[in-house]
Amino acid sequence: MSPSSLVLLLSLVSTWLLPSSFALPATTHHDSYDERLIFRPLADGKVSILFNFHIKASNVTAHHSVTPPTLTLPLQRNGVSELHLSFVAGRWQHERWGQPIHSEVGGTGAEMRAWIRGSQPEEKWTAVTNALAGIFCSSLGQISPAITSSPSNIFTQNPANQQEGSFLHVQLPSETLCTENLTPFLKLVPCKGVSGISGLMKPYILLAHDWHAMGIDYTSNEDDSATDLLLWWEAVVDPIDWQKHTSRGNSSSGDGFRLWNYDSELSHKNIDFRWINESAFVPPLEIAAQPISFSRILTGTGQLEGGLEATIRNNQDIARTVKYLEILPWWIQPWLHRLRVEEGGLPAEECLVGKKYIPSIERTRPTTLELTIAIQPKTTVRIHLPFNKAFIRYTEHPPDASRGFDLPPAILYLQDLADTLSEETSSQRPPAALWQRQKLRIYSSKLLLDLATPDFSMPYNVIIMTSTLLALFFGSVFNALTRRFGVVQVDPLQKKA
Amino acid sequence: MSSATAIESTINPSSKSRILTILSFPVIALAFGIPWWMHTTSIERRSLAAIGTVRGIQEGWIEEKVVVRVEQEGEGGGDVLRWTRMMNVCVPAERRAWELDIVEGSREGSEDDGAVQSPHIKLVNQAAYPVLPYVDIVPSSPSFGALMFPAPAIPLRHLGEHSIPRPDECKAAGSDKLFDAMEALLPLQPWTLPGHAIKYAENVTFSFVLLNEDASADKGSRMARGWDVEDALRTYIQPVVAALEPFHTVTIESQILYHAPLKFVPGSRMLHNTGLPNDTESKVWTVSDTQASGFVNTEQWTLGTLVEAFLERVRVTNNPVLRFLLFLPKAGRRPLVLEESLRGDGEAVTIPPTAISTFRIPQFGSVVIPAYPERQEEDGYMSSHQMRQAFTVFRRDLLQLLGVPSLPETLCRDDASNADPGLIITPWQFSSLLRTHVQATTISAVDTLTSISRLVSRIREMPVGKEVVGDVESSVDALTEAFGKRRKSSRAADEGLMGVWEKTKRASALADRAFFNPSMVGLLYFPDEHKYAVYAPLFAPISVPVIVAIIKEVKRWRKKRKARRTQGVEVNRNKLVVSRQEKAI
Repeated sequence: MSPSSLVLLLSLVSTWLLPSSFALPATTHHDSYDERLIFRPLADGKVSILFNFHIKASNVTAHHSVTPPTLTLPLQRNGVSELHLSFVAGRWQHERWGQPIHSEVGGTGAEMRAWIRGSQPEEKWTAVTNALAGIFCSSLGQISPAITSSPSNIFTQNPANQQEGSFLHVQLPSETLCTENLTPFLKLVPCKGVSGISGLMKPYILLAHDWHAMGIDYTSNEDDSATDLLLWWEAVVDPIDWQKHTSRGNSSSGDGFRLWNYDSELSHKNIDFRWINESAFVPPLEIAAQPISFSRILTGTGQLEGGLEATIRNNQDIARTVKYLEILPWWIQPWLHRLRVEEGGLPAEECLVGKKYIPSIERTRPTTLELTIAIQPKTTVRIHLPFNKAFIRYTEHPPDASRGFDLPPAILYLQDLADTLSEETSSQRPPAALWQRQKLRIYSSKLLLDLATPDFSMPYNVIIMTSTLLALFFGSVFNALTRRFGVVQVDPLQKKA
Repeated sequence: MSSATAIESTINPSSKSRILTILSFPVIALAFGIPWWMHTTSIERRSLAAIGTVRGIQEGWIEEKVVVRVEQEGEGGGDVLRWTRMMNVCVPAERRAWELDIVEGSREGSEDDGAVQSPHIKLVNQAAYPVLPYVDIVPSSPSFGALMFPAPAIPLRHLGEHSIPRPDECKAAGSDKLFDAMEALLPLQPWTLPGHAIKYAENVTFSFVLLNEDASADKGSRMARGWDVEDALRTYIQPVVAALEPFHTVTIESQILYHAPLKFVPGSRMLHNTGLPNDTESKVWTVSDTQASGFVNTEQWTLGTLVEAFLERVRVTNNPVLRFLLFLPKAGRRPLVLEESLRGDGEAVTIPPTAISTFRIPQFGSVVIPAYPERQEEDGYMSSHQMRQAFTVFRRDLLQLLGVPSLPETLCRDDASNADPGLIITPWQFSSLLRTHVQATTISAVDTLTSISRLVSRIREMPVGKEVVGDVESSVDALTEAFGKRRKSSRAADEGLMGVWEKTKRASALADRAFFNPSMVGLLYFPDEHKYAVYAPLFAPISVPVIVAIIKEVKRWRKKRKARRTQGVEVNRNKLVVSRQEKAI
């Protein structure tokens, strides 16, 4: 099975499922709700599934029909014009699986970005993160200015909803995705995980596999009169296990699929789909390479210094231009003068086309490093960035200090693709289907970095040490002040002896 | 030997100065250390003496009178004036919460809104209305909201400045009747808020929720995908909200739930004659009293609006949300009715298709369950006309939950019953509610202030900051302003009651803010273990040489004294021996 045939299968599946997708026509006169389930087989035999709940509503300030007020109200009150939030657990295997179906899937951990209207965006941003932390039972409340950046070259606003505002972006690599996040997610969907496609979202299916992601995409126009909310959940499942699970689910609920406005011809029928002449899946011995592959590792030993090494390979026959983005916490202090770009083991400074660097400020701002790199066909470019690890205060360590610190995933932005895409959009091309949309960002895996861990009994040691020294000093001074001197008569004979 | 002692005494300080030197260490340490310790561990506790002045206020407020305007239908202005004066005298001032006044022509014309707000008596010709007094609640009537009171048939005596009418004169002029009617409308002791009503709060949110028990189970069209809630609110709820504007700032929101499962399985009964055509026996689903009290499934119904949480993040005062739930039972669970509605001769009960079950949940909201949800339009859209019954109930319950008193039945006329009695707020209800709220907020403010003072005096470690004292003092000021230097002028009394209300409301809000001030919670607390762990390593080794030196000095001093004493005894004995020898000689 070649990749092209896989894509074909994908579109086939989608057209099959589209008529069955549940559409709630005109709840209030201009609100609409649409849910979809998209399957995509991956090259190694696994299946990527995407649950997609699309809500479009007009004027949802006070009266809600399909929109969840718990989610939209805090966003409206804080003047959010666009927001993307994604939680990812597990490692997306880019080499084998290509790109996720949904275009806004972030890197491992949580990623959130928002365009906020009006003044004081930081305060609103904090309010929004706290609200979302409460809604999703997550630790988004940890988001602080010290890890918030604004890489506006890599993330662009929805072209249909361009508004003045500040852009804020954050990655929380330590965040995971669990059942406790799925439950509040389902409460935001009008069907509440009871009927429709959301009824199939069982935690033992979605969370039992290698990779799963959840998120929301929200856009709203200037006066919040038109809101577009997309709730999605994507997971990579093993079809063998999954079949087992679904059959269990079916037996418990009775008739499995039960959808509103379900195409009557399809209901209660087996909607199993197969290739013509397909008998069994043969795992491929070799998986075709992705156009661009991207990985990142940590180098160096010790608790003082380290290095990041990113490898970008262009597997295509044309030269490519990409942007490599690192957003590093302030306690990583990169040495930019020692930044090395290599091609085939030899220095290749000509690959580095552009460089944008925003240095960090201690405890206030992360480092943003954006490198534009031109890669020749069929070549590999290595970027090596050495850094110092800062000493952080002992109160800044997490409770499990010896575990280490998570470094957020690096992002590779396909600049050339984005340029052609923006040209096409300007020529009023109809928007592509969800699974056909170009994915412009490749995320590396997150890294675990070891910082010098202090001895946490240190303050008491310091107190005792200082006290001992002071007491010794005091004792000697005191003795000198109160010492009694006496005359000792020495026998002259003894003196002689 | 003697030279050595001499040298020792010159190089060493005298024992007196030595003991001073040694003692100066602990003395200096204590002299500076204790005040320093006190300073660093002290907490800001400002005086809350202002609260003391508040205690007497609670009783004083009742003297505030509601001004009731009197007018006569038709002609005969002179008699109205006499009657009004007479009534004010006939009913002793300490027995009434009102004061009669004549409507002035100019005033009536100028302020339309004010006229609605102020209670009004209309003297009517007894010949036309020979019956008891009543309140006109026909909205289209020109005398809407007025108490129609039969005018006395006899001519009234003109009263001088100090003359008092005789009891029989009073009775003939209708003073007993008036007193009874007025006591029902504006009792001397205002109604306390009923138990089901929420405690007064300025900002109230009404949340209207349409709940489909299970929209997916319905292949038919009885589930509601949408509702014309905005129109229904405009028709039924907005007038009430507007009338209550002086009391509450209301936020209205609505929501639709498509899956609202019940926590319990309703009971079922077979009924004959359920009112459906072609139905001799059918199943009826019932909700018992206990099930009704736990009807709202807060775990699975996402009713939470969170608005308050985000709006009022800074303010601690709670803003209540009243929830009005329109619950549509799912297919196969219809008709769903309250069990008590089937009591009595169960066999003969009929459930008309338009039947609705309603119950009120105290301090929470109310629930309406249509027995048979109406067949919706093609797109599952509920029009405001279809929701008329439900919203009428919501409006009634809303008023009850806000503590609005209903008109006394004795003052309602039968022919006006079709005008929805109790659903329109008359000036009488408004004034009565105003008195209730003034009383409630005063009591609440005084209670809060006294509990602050009690709490502070009981918990010694509780800090009392500038903000708290500021709030407490402004609250006390507002209370004393409201009741202390009250003008006795009766003419301005109605505006006065409104002014009193503004002040007591502010006093109550400020007292609440002071009570919930987060700085009061932050008790300054040093656990003993901490003190020892931090101070012992320093003070223990330091105090050792000091104590040892003191002990040494004490020992030395004792030894010296002993030595001196023995020496002295010997000298004395020698002297004695010498004197005896001398005597013997």
